[in-house]
Amino acid sequence: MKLFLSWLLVALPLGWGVTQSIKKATPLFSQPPAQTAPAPVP
Amino acid sequence: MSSPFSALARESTVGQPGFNRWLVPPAAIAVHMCIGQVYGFSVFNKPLTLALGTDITKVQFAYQIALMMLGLSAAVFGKWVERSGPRKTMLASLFLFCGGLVLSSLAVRIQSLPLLLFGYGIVGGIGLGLGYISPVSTLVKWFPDRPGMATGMAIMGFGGGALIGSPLAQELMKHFAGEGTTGAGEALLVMAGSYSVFMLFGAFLVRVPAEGWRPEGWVPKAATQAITGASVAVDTAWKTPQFWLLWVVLCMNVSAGIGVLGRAADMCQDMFGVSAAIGAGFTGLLSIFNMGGRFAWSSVSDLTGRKAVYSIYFILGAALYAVLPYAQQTQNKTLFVACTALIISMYGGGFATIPAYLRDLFGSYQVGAIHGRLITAWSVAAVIGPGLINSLFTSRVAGGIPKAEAYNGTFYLMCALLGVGLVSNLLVRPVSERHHLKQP
Repeated sequence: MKLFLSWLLVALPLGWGVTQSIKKATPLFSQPPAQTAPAPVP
Repeated sequence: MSSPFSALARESTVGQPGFNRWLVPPAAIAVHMCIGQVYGFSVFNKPLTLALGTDITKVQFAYQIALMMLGLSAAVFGKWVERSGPRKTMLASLFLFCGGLVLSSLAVRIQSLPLLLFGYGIVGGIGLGLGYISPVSTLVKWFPDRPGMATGMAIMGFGGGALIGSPLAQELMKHFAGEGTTGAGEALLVMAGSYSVFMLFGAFLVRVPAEGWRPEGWVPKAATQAITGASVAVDTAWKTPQFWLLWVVLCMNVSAGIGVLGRAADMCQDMFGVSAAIGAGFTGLLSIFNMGGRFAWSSVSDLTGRKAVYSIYFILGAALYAVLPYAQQTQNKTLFVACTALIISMYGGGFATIPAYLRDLFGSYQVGAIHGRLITAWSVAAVIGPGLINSLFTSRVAGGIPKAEAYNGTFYLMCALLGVGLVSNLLVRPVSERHHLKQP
């Protein structure tokens, strides 16, 4: 139990930090929005 | 009657029979992930500049002093760390590092730049040095069967510290910002309090192994060409060619890594014309590889041997740097990101593998103190690495080369630095027997 709690105590903040970095890195992998052609003027 | 401080003495921290050695890595990680905040200091640049009414270079100076003090204090206090044991050292690190944060907060309140430089740079920097070497040396002693993996875990915590420190500071400043305040002072104070709790947890959880302790069922391998069974004292070790060869190895590896890490966001934007948000995302991705590489590569070194893994860092690193200009010319972002991520993982790996390399060569007797002296290579690299890159890049841009291509020259410079590191690594030989301690 002590072992589990000790690891949990360090894993939680590290996991939070990694999640924040992944969030920050997301734009790197997102495709630019596709250009839609303007609707033809009637 | 025992003194109230006797619980801090090395003798009081000896692990009793049945103590689970896997409790020591979380203690080490707890300390390292707090002091790793220093890597995330840049988020305070703007708020502190505003709060202190000064310019950004003066604020950044606090960070540079802290890194310099990290190396110096690790070198100067290494022997004291070995003598005093990890608990006392971790507590000293707590008081100095968190005290430095409190002084920085006070500096914001009274608008004093000198107090920031003294608090964060000098006081906090000494705390960094003590906190960095103490758990590493303890882990090497608990895990003689897997020293690379063990030190990799702690030093991974240091890399993780930046991942936690930056967003935490940003969230806190957002929370405390208001009329006439950037929230930086309050954020620093809250961080000092939170980090104290984690470091205190580490200090009280940590134990040292009893004299002659060995993992159950583990039989030390006979001394080989690469691993000595003997011990070398710190005062002797730093006079050997092996120490200085490893110093160059670390310095070159760090200088080459900082080349990418220090300018990652700008580089990505200049070379591929991407937005600032994507540049920041690229930095975030590199931070994850920096952290993961520390654990992964140093664990690999337990299987391949230290010399082999450093040779991989240098040869593969140079090859990857040589590919980067091609990635720019073909505008292949995926190739660029993959290569730089791998380079940064080896940069982290270099930090994490060095304590095990020292232990192989000099034994575990005073490995913390030897590590402390070797860390001066990091301080030097932190100055020369970015200095070389920035000056070469600026001169190429001034010479009329487009920004997108101006980085190519710096990549070849990184290849050369890695080449120097490779030669130093290949020259490492076992320490002469005349340096071995008879009775450590």
